[in-house]
Amino acid sequence: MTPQANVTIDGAKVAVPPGTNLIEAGRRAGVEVPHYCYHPRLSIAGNCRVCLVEIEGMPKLQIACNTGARDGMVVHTKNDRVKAARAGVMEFLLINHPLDCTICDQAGECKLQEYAVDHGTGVARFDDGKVRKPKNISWGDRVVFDSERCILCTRCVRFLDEVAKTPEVSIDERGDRSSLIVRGDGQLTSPYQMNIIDLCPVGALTSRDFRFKSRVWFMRFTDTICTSCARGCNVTLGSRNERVLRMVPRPNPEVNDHWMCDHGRLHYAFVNDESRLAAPKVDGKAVPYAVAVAKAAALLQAAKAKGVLAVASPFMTNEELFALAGVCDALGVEDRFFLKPVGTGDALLVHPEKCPNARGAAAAGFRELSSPHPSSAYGAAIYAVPREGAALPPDLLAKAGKRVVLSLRDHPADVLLPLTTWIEKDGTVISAGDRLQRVVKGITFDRNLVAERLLLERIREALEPGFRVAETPALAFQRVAEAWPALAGIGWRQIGALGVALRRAEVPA
Amino acid sequence: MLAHADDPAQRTLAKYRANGGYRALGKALSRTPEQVTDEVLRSGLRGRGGAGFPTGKKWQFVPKDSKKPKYLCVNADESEPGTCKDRQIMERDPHQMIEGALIAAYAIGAGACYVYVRGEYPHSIRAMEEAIDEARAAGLVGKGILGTKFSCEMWVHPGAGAYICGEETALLSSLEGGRGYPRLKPPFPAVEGLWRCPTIVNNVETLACVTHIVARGAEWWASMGCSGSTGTRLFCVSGHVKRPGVYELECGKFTLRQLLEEFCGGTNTGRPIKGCMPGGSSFQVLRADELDVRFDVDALAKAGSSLGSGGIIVFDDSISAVDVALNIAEFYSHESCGQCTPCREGSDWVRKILVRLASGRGSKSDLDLLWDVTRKMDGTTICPLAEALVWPVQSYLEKFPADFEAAVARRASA
Repeated sequence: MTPQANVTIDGAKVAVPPGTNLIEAGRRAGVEVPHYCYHPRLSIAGNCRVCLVEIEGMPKLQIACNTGARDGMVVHTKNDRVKAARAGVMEFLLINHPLDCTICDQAGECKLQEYAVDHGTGVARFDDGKVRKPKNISWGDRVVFDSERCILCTRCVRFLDEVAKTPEVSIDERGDRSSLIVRGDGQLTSPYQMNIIDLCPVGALTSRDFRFKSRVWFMRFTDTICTSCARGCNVTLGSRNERVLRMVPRPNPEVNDHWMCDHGRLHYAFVNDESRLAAPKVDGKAVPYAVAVAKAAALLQAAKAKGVLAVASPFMTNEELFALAGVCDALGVEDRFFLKPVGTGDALLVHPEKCPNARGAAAAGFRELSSPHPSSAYGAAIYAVPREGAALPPDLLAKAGKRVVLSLRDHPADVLLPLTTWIEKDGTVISAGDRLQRVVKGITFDRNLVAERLLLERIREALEPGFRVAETPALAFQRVAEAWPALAGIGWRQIGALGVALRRAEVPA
Repeated sequence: MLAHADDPAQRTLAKYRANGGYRALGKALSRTPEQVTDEVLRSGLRGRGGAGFPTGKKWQFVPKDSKKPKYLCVNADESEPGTCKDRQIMERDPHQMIEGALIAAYAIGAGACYVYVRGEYPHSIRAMEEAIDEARAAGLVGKGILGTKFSCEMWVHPGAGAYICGEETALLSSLEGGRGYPRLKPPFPAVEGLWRCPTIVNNVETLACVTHIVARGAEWWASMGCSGSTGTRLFCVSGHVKRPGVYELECGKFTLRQLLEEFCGGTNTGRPIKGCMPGGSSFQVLRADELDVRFDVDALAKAGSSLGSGGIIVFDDSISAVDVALNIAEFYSHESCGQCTPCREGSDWVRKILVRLASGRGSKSDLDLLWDVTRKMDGTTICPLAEALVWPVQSYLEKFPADFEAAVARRASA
């Protein structure tokens, strides 16, 4: 057994590994020690001084972030001495702060606002002119900097130095003239630069993409994942009026730690695209769903003798892939493929597979389609177009006499069914590292849209009398879990917000 | 230390050796590092940079079992207002410091020594470079010193003009090429200093003392001065005195009044002394009626101030304490590195309040505000720069209340 240090924090006793810093020890004891510069994944800077605590036996107040727990330590975080020092730090932080919360994007999720209420005095004694510094400074196409709001905690500096490994921000000048600068031409280059916006505890670093779009308290937040690559970074998606406004990373030590790449974060415009396909079409004309489903089933059934081709999309959830596989089973389809978009990855998070669920597609029995395309011709085909309307290769489309196409955008087809995006439905995917993760419905883009899992199951229902549509996402998942060895024994609720690791041997390569 | 200071030839290696130089180094190398450390420990030598920590004890903090390289850094970033003693050593008799540094490097097992010289001291930088080059050419710096197995390289590193780089951990940050930011302790430099390796930082004068201690023995050194402040020490006197300058004196053998009135001849203005900063600008002021304090480390600490770096600044009764406090606040707010919130924001706030008071725009509540703001800066930062502002300002408020009340009254009467 590892030795434990027994620490008393505000009267609460907690056992932690020796050396655990007192902010983390406090967390375990249920005591929140306020902090700005401290971040669990960055080196200790110790500059904000708001985490000062009293330790019995030590004459001076100590910063909790740089003090390791020792056995027998008695810590006070709320006595008068600590409160006075903390109120002092809050006052110092605010004297030169512009207090422009009315137009600041950070308002509502600003640690300066929070701590001013929780730990400040509520009284202003500063009568002199504030220090003026540069405002609205462009750090490139993604980050905007306001030096007057900056509290110089150096989280951004440390993230770029230590995590992104692109040391490009540093501090210029000294004293209360200190200001952050981007080295070189003043423009950030890191593909992870937007993480510094999340790290910034105040409104000094804001997102050009999100700026002034919405007060955060009017937004709805959904804990889901990013689907731009196979990593499946955990995110919190912010939406308002059924449109996506931003994505920020959600900590998951097994997947993305506290970070996500800028590409994934900014990759949501296709969701909000008002020109998306909103209704099914038969021969180019909009029809009710029931008509399109019946037509698709009839068309596929008729082509059964000549052979049917199925092309799945690795952007589909396990439940959708399973439903498509069910349609294939009903039709006796042998040629089941999926197209896997690939690109370059990096050492931190970006995965070379540019889709969230190639593993699920393989688990559902679809084979990766590589050139040359299947040589035979088919009576009909059912295609799921990889998202964002990337057209299928024409030679592949030409293989089939009749075409049922599922697509986010308009597409040549005999029967065209609208797809939905990952933020419009509940389901599961298998991310890189063989991790089962949930996608969670956050918005309803168009109340008339029907999720593709239901469409596929209704086609199957038409082909296979006696088949019953799964009414809920949980039920749909249960069917998949019963069928796929990799998911055996996993329950819907068990997946949770952080996902579960699968037994590697049972996940198809 | 100043025995040969007035001889321009003392800068040369030949003259330094003719006067007995580098014999102490030979003596040290014939002993074990532990014996050398013990000698320095027994001498009672305390650091001359300002904090007054026992030098031998500091050396003992270097972990014996560390596999990492060890470093010696010479703190020659003499920036404390009123302090100009290290400069005398570097420019007039540099080899005694080089010799002391080599002895210290031998004692702690360092193979490299960096001399971090204040950027505004071009003459010192040149003098040190010349002296080190000469010592290197003579086989006193480099590989196999004096035919022994002991090797130690020595480089001069000019500072870039920041007061804070005299703080030992900021000095290390600067030496590594980073911003001159003081570092969190622990870890202490003796365990994790330059390039995260065990490092000792010693002041120029401290190392010059080491040379003499090893040359003539710990007992001889301890026979001078007084208990707690052994040996001789350099004092820099400036301000309203007839004979300003650098004095080498035995601690504890005289009072501050004696120093100012007898040795320095009293004020040069003919007016009475009003106050005196006994240890550089960053410690508490002493009033004219407090000058009978015995001049040594412990007696001054008892008197509520400090011997600091030995910079003594005197002002006569024509000076308002408000102006002195403002001058100090201007210096420290300009020199605050900006790392810790209370110092970064508070030091300039204090300055702004004092500007108001000094210009007749201050009010009675400003005095309470000054007290409160300075109290909130005290003890809440990484390094002592905040205290270097706070302690003197509080001492002027406390010891010269009439000056502050007069400043407030100026507004009332305006």
